[in-house]
Amino acid sequence: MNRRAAALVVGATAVLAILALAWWSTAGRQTVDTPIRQEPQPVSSAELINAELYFPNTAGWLGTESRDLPAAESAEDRAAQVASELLAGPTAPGHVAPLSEAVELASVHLSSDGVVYLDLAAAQLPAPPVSGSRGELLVVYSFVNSILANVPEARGVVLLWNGNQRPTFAGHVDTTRPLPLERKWLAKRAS
Amino acid sequence: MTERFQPALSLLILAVGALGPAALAAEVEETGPPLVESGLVQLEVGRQRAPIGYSLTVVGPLFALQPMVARLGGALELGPLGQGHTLKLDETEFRFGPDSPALTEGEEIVSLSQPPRVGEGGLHVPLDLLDSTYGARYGLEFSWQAETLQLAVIQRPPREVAVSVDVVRVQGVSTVVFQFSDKPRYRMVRRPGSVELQLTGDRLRYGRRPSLPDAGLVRGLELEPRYVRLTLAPDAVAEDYTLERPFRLVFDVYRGANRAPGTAAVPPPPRPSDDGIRTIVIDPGHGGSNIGAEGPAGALEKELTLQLARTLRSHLERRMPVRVVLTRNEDAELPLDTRVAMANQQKADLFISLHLNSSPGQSAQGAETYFLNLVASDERAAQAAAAENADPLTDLQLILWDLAQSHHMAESQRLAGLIQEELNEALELRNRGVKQAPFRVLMGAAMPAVLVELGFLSNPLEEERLTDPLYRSRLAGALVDAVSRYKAIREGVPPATQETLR
Repeated sequence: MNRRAAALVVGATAVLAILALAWWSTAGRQTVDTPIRQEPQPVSSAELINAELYFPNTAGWLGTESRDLPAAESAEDRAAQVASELLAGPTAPGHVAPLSEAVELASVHLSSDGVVYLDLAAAQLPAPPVSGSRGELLVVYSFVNSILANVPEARGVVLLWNGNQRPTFAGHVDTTRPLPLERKWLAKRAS
Repeated sequence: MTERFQPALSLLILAVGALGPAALAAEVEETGPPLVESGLVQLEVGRQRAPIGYSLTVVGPLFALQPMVARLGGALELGPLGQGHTLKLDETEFRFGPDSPALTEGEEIVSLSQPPRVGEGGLHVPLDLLDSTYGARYGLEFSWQAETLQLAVIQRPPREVAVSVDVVRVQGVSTVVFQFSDKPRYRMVRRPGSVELQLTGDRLRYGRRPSLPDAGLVRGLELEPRYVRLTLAPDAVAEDYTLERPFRLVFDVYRGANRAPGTAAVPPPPRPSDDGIRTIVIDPGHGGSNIGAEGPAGALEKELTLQLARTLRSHLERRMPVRVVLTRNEDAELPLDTRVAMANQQKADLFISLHLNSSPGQSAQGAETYFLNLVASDERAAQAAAAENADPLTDLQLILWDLAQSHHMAESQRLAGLIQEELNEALELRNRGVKQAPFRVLMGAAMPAVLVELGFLSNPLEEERLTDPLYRSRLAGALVDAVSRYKAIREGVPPATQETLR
């Protein structure tokens, strides 16, 4: 190998390394401009699991988005992944994030009887934002349906806010009991 | 404020009374527009003059109502501290609150320039309240001279209102329709065998005059400028209602209990029944600091649901013999569990929670009716419920919950279906259907219970409609039709009337 060929190999390796670094830094933060599967994946397909996420849409239903997420080590981690993806926001037009950017995932706990306790937290918001009942149903079932659709070990979801279980999420929907999957809020056509 | 608190309120108002009117005035002054001055002015009625209390705020003048009632007639019932007052002029009741710039007459809501306040000589009210009550009912005109501090009350010359009259007889029911060129001022006087419409300040000019059907239930129809009298058959009953645009007064006349042999399809008055609907609790959603949904133009769910509830109560009480209780009749915060507890305490036969919807974006529209989601909706949910049942405490909660709810589930679904049908038909709203949801306000109700979302405040077009009192009246009319149909099914009698109040 002459010096020119060696330089080409080194240059190509550097470009590949930069591309790999760029992919790694953006993985997990999906945006409209960077769909998850545009570039070759550095991990095998066996390490990715397809997840179905449900986001509120502007017509008053839950629209579906499909995403490939890294395989989680536990059901609890998978629930946390799903909730984080929802909080990060949608990629499809017409979909909206269920909660504002000020809300973060504080903790997830999966009980032995299959109930996911999802603690959402916002330092500046002592209670979830108030809306009409449909808006509240969409927020609640965005999390409930997304988790139950992707975590087979889970049977119901209890939503907490800043570590507390509230009588209702934001004035309408009872959150004193685990909520089961409800497909009736899904839009008839997946977005 | 609930009726349960009224004894305590009575004690409180006595205590306030002992402190003197100034204490009460000071409390009320905090909520109204700033006071500029107060004192006495001259009230002129005909040739008589008398001093009455007066306040001037930055919005305008207010005048003591009690001396006005003593001179002009009527009866005034002052509610306990913080609650509404009632001015009764003949058969008409006007209700207004201490802190609210609004006046209600039946289903009508009139906005006032400012809320009443307490001052010299008792309760002070703005001029537009006097115009909407004494002006509308008695044809009186109030002329305020700020320079001379004189309030003159004069009798307006009678207004002439054109009216046409039609009588039709279908399936044993005689319907008499009066169509007016403008809404007249009148009062209705019912006597055995007759109903009389007495004009108060207006005169009627008749256009089309009907001929009465032979052997009909309306035996006589006297049409005079100052009154209309319907003479009824001995066993006939006349129910009245009004329609808008143009204003119409309609009488449905049918045979009462002693109907003649061979007559059929006649709606008799509801008979008492163990399964009857006697008490209805209406729950205006949200209130106080819990404003609920907010429209793009600023309409608040808590305010519109209260106005809708008041209108619905008025429609219901006029249309059928029921007692209607509101969980809140003011802008107050009320826990969800307290609302349904009130319905249980009142031994209500129906519980209807009124709400306005919102969702992301502005395109969602239409009405939807909910009843409680008690049963887990799929296999995994059933597993979740089974898992919960493993806990003895949860098991007990579920049993109590089931006892309170399951008996009424089918009836709630039936009522929800009727409400949705009537809303779709009467208002041509987009049908979003009947649904089940785990709404806290419906839990524990020991009666059929529904939550009605009457439109999307997040949709600018629906927000505009919902702020229109006429549109709200139509919504209330549709709900009354649904309740009437449900009541008829439960009691095994035909609905109270076939017409929708609009």
